[in-house]
Amino acid sequence: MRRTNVSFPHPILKEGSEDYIDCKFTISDQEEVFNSKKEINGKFTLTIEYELICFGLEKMILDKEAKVVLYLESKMTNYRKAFSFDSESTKLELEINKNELGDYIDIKPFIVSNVDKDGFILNEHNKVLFGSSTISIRKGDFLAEANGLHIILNKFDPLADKPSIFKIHVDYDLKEDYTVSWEYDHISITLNERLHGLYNKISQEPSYRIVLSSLFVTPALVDVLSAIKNANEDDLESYKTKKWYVVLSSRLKHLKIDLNSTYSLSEVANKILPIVSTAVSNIDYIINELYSDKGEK
Amino acid sequence: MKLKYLTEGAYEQLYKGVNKNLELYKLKDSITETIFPQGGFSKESSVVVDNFSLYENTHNIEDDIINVKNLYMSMKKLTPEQASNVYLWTWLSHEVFFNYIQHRWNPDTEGSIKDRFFCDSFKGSRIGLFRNGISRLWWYGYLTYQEGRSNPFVLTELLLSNSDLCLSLVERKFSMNKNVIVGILSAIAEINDSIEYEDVIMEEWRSLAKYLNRYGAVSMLDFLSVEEIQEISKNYILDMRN
Repeated sequence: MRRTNVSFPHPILKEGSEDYIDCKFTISDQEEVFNSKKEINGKFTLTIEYELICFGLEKMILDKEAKVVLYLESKMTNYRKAFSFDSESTKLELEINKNELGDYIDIKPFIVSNVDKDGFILNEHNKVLFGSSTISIRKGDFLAEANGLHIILNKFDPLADKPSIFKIHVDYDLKEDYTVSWEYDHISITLNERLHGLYNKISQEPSYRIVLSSLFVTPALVDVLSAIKNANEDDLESYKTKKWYVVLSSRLKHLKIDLNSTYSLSEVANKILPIVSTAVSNIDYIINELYSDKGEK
Repeated sequence: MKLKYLTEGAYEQLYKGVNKNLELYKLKDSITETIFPQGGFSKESSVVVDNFSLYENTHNIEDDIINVKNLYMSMKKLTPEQASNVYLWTWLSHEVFFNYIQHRWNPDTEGSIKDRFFCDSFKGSRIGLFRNGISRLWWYGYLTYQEGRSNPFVLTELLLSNSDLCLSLVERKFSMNKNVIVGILSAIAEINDSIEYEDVIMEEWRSLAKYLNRYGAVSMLDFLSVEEIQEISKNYILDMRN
């Protein structure tokens, strides 16, 4: 559920909005939720807590006129479901069937109205913006929104070395030496017939395979990192559904790398792929071996 | 039948090669053996479904409805996760129901072949699932099937009775929400079945779909029950008439 530039006809409590004065609605952070994750009998459980500072909304929740709801969505599997907190608890344990989910899940926290109500006025509303106007709300209307979470469910290990996020193909009609695309789950490197033949021939030798791999993989990874760095919101939404993005974003987070404040993407690429770093640091040795053993390029 | 799915590499090769293989898509037999003479383009899943067939020589709505019923009842145990797998539907389209798609859609351009034989939903959009010649049948069944009713496909029949109604609903943001689809269709059926009212017309359902799209921007439709969606939809249509 992506909602941008929505003009609400009623006050909404959210970050950056001035509809409420001195109020706050937040939930557990990404790390806390991720660490709460358990997997039992084919089900995932996640524990999430919320904090609400707004007497008016708190009272509506206790009076069952409003509910705190977590909206879960997995775009990969078209899973979507709303879970409600009990009115007297700020903690909720979510239980989700593992086979309904993809590699990650997006969680959006809301407070929604549980009733149709005329004259929705709270002391915390910004009087400058709303004055004494009569405001009506309907059951289901959003009253507050907190920052969402993007939780990786670890169906695979995103921190493990994952050369499998790359795939090398051949295209016999390709005019260029090679092309790179990342529209599917893997970063796809397509070689023309000549290069693929060469690749196959030399890759029989494991120690040379590392160099060959790095020759194609590192530039491809730099392209992909550049695409992430320059992505607009729609591109990012699309990337989030891809396995390569889940793996790369997780590795970036683990390495505490912020692409927006990074100058050299090649340097980042080499940090992300330990195998490539190893290959690059050993390249003199391996090239010497390559020349002396085979006597040819 | 044990379901298979295309490998990612095979999918990509087929998808990128559509323009080059336009003539192959006009042949009577599946093209995968021609393109992948050494095999290895698909993998076996653990999912077994009942064997079923689809009416091939048809373009009419009645046969679409029969095909939804046949396919959905045979593949009802698929989860939405499994039914979102583009490689599965693309395998079925190329291997099992190649002739059906040819007859039903007669795709002969790059765009129409990509729409009907593939499942182009990689950009996070679910529209591709409603365009692929086979997955659309499953998703129409899933979104409208009502367990326990004497005719569990009564809303499927209504949805498919008019292609404009179908597109108006499934190409909206709320289309993956079964409650919303069932609620809207139930409201239309309620009005159509009542002697008190005229049948719901095209402009009304188009307007209703737009209204619910706007409604969903400021309100959580998933929080509402089928009955509440039905009530909102019915009131909206009747208000429009006054």
